[in-house]
Amino acid sequence: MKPFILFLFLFSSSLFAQEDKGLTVVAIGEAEADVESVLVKIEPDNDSNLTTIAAIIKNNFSFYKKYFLPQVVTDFSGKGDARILIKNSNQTNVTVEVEYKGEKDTNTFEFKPDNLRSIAHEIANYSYKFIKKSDSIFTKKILFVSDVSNRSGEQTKELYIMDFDGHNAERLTNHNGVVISPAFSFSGEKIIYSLIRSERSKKRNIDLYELDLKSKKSRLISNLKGINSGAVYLPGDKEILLTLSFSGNAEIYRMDLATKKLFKITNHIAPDVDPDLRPDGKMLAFLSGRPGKAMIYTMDPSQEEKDVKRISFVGDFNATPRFSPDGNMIVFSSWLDNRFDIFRINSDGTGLYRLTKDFGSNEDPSFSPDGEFIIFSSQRVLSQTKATQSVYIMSKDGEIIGPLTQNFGNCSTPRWSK
Amino acid sequence: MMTEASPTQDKSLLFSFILHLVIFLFLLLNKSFFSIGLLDPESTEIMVIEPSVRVDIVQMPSQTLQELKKLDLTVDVPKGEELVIDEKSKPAQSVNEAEQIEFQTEKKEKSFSDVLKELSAKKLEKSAPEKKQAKKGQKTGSEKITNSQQAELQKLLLAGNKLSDGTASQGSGTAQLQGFNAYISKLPDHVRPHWKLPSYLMGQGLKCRIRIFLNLQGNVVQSKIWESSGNEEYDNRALKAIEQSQPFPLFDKEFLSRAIAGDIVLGFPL
Repeated sequence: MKPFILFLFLFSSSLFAQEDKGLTVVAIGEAEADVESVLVKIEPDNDSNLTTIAAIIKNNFSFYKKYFLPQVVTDFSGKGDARILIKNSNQTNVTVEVEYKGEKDTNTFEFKPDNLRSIAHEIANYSYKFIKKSDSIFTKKILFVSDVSNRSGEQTKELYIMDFDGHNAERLTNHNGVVISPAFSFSGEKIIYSLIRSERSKKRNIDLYELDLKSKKSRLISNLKGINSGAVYLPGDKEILLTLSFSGNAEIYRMDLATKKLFKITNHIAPDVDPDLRPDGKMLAFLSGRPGKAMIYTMDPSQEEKDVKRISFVGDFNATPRFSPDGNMIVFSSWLDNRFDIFRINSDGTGLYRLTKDFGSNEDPSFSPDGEFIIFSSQRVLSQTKATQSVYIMSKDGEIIGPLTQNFGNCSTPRWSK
Repeated sequence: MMTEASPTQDKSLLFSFILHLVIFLFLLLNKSFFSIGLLDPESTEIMVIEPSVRVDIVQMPSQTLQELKKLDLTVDVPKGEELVIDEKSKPAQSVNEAEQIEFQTEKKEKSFSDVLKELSAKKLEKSAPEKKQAKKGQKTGSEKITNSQQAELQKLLLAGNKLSDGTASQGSGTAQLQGFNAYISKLPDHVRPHWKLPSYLMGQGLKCRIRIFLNLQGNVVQSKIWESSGNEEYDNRALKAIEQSQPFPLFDKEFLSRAIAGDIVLGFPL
């Protein structure tokens, strides 16, 4: 009898333990951003150059509307989460004081009256860095191609570069051909791109060129038979990954820029195109026709066909996979409802989200270097024969911020500097 | 007579001693024997509640991320319950024919297809006198079901889209949530609107856990940092979110002892 009672006691005690003890942890989830006010003030407040600079800084911060609410004020009066004071101490220097959470910092910038935009971007980036402890996009550049310089009847597209906010667009090439798939080097000094020559030759080859931004000179890198395109630099800028079709089938290769030596990366009977590298260079995303439709794959680019993994399983035609800077996400465009739209997927194949809808036909997405924004080209059909294509910027979650190019011909393939 | 130990008494004494020893060791190992265990985070068994609905993608999502964020998730998906939508029951235009959609976790209670089949059977019985209508379109019965369930099913699919991100698929979901845990599972939606961070603390992978002690009115009597993120501001923001979330949803009196004892730990973000 006694053991039985003890067993009963034991049993009831463990039952008691199960029901009434033990902490329960419940996951609240990711936090929303707390929008902080950023006040910009200039001294003296009637300086026209400083007024321009303050307006540009305000505009810069307003791109990050998820985080900041910028405002130009004449008096701080103790308000604002962050305060930026810009003083024109003399005609050669601008002094900037930033204050955030009780901490202060001061810096001076060289005053260039002929280039107020670039100094404003530098001040904005410095202030942003002090507040957010990371780099902004304010000093980054965007590459794109446009047909704005076309004379009537021509079908050419030349390469352009502009500031992150769409200003200071500058023409870089004069090939009188169609430039496609440009990409920045890691150093930001070189650009690799492909060219379809418009000369009336029977051989319509796609050749690869490299442009030196300092000398503004281009040199031919590869003109093997067929496609030489979609090139991206490997870390160190000494090698590139690109699509070549000289074998009769499009495959991805690694090329040494100095020796032009080739290493095969993909090897499959189906075409493999459009490589994009994770910034650490250890993972490659590309487009492959292996399943019968164009689908996104990832692999280790160090060896041929290493760790090939299919990422996308849906969509009629997926195109242009591009990594986020941390490598966790891939943004791409996909054919849906008779147009292209931008989608985002985690690089392990989970978390597929649609980002654009009812916004024209959207292609060529590219993540900003800080991972907060995606630029893309958006096409609007105006009439049966007319359409216009512009570069737009949106947040990584698909909130449209606005167009970067307007009345600048048809603009496409926007790419961020690194 | 009584003091004299007989061999049988010796045997039962030994048995009793061994039994007691076993019970003592068992309780010692079980740790719950000592109420001190409650105060020592290391020794407590932790149960983590997360959404446990998983969705296999069968087509490109038609809703954008922004639309999903705005979507009010009113669909009541029982956590830890398996829902399988098979070929026949799914709405034709929303699912790719070749593939199959599955909402699955671990425990199967009653599949969604079963629910739909039952409903379809009922509708067919009802529509028996209306055979004329049925003749017009042979599929009337099933179409009716689809129509009546269409909205709900569409919601469910959208809800799945909303829940399909990253960690959401890794819920522990060993059983359907009941009682106290069902109450706790309501808390994330209650606290999240107040959970905000300044930009420089976002995306850094910081994490803290806070233990809360509630009273019957749903107010926080005490909140203790159980696992610090290492960043003071981050911890304070989490504490602030809890403070602003008061009063918490009301709970049954039977859970009062657990709520007062601080059995609830809120994870920011996990």
